[in-house]
Amino acid sequence: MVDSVKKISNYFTKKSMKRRRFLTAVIVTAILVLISYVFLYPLLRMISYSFMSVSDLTNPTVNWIPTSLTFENFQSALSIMDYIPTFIQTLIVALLPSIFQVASTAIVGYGLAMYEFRGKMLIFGLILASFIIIPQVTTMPQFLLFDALGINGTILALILPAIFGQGLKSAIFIIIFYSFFSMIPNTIIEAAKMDGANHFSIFYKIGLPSAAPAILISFLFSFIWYWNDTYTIQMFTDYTTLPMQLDTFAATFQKMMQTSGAAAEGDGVTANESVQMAGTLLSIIPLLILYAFTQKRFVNSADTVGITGE
Amino acid sequence: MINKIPDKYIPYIFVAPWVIGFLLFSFLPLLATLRYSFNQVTVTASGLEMESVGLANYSTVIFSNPEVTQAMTQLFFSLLVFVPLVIIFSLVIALLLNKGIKGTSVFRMIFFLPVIIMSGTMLEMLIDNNIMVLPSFVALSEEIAQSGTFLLTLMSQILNSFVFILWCTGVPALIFLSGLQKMNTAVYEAAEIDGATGWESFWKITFPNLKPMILINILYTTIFIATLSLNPIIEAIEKNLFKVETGVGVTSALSWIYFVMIVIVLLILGGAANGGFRKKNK
Repeated sequence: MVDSVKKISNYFTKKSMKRRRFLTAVIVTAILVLISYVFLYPLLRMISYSFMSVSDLTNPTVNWIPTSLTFENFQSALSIMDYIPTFIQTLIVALLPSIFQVASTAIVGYGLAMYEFRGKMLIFGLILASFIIIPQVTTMPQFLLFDALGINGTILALILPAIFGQGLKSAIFIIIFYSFFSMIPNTIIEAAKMDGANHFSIFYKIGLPSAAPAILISFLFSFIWYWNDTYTIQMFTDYTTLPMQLDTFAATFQKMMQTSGAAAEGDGVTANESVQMAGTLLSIIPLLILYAFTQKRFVNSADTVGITGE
Repeated sequence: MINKIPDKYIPYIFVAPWVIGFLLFSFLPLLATLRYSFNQVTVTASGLEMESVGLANYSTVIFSNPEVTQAMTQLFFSLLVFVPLVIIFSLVIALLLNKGIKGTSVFRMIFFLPVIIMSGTMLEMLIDNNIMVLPSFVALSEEIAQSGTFLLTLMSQILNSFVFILWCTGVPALIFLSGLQKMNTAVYEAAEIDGATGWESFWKITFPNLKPMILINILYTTIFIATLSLNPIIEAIEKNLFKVETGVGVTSALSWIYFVMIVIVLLILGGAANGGFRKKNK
């Protein structure tokens, strides 16, 4: 009798464990879906509006789905933002400083990871401090320095600080590389030393090649941060980037309306929501495409780099 | 020749570029701006002319510029409220993602997406077109803002910025998730055998282990929000830096005030996090 009671209670426990796990999964999924909706709401709205015609916008019965796909908004936005030249400039601004920033932070991160030396803690502290020093509080003197060097307005004004490890959010990359290089087993280094390699060739032949994942992740983050930054780029270069075009979107639209004669001087014409949203969408599409191809890298970056320890 | 450099100097060679850069592009400019803030600075063809004015620039910023002061105060309190919210939500999201249900990778992709696309100008575009708030939140927040009490006005502001707060959770959630996954499940099993509830094992095992990540996330989130070109103070700095009337001196004072404010926020939040941990571990 006891046996059968045991059997029955076992059966129910197994089922209730399974059921509990299933219930947890359902609840967790439901919460995550809700959160996802909040996350995606602005983007979904943006996409929805950008395909709407003016009549759709004013039509109270049209909420999410436009009556027809309007592409004029995109055409307007493309010309307002002077898309292709701006896109190329944005690409340059995001690409070049990133290359130099990744290179220099890799070197610094390697030095910090591989060696013990006097002042190491001080350097770490300064690196942390450099992260807290906001760009605004160093702008003017930097501007004067670049002026004296004659590089104001050019991409060099971004590249030069990046080469010396003072690029956008450089401290983060130093930490990424420090964390990553710290994971290299000592045995490999010892073996190389015994083979007569000097410090720099160890860096070049062992450290760097193994750091490919960290280099890629750092480059990706640097790329998007430079792409999305408007302050530094505006202050030191003459380049116009896609995010910057969003800032001047209304003004450009007004000017275009006035020169084409569609509006008189002093008229307050603003681009309607559809055109604005089309412009915003166009400005982030390159990033979304990049993300589509690289999202795994981004999302797993903390693990790849070992930033939370092994 | 390279082999002749004594071993003990090698690390300095690796670190040298950064040190040079820090001095040239960060530290010295920082001091220079400090100096400007105490002077009336005129930009001439031959450089800068400076006339010492003591604290005049600072008082101009604080007392003659009500919008700036208001914006600064608002940002100060916003940071104190938003950053902990971001941390809490990131932790919740990380815990949910850590459950490992099917489709976790899709959710991770969604939650990290804002990190890729967020720029100050893009956020402004969305906010101006009223799509950074959920309509139900707008209605709710208007209703509770009516009552006028401090707490409810605060709640109403949080509701209005809810999407933004969630959008800031990308990087912190990533860090928390990574930390959670590194944790030893054996400890949890032992705790369960000892009769600990889920709640208890969270606070006694998970939470203390997350302390360094909480501090990192406080730092990252605060700086991130404070340097988004979205906020009006940065706009003010941008616009006034080269204006003849306001000038370099005043703008430098403004940026230093802002800088110090951020440091204070960091100290408050970091201290609170640290203190909270000491208490829990008693």
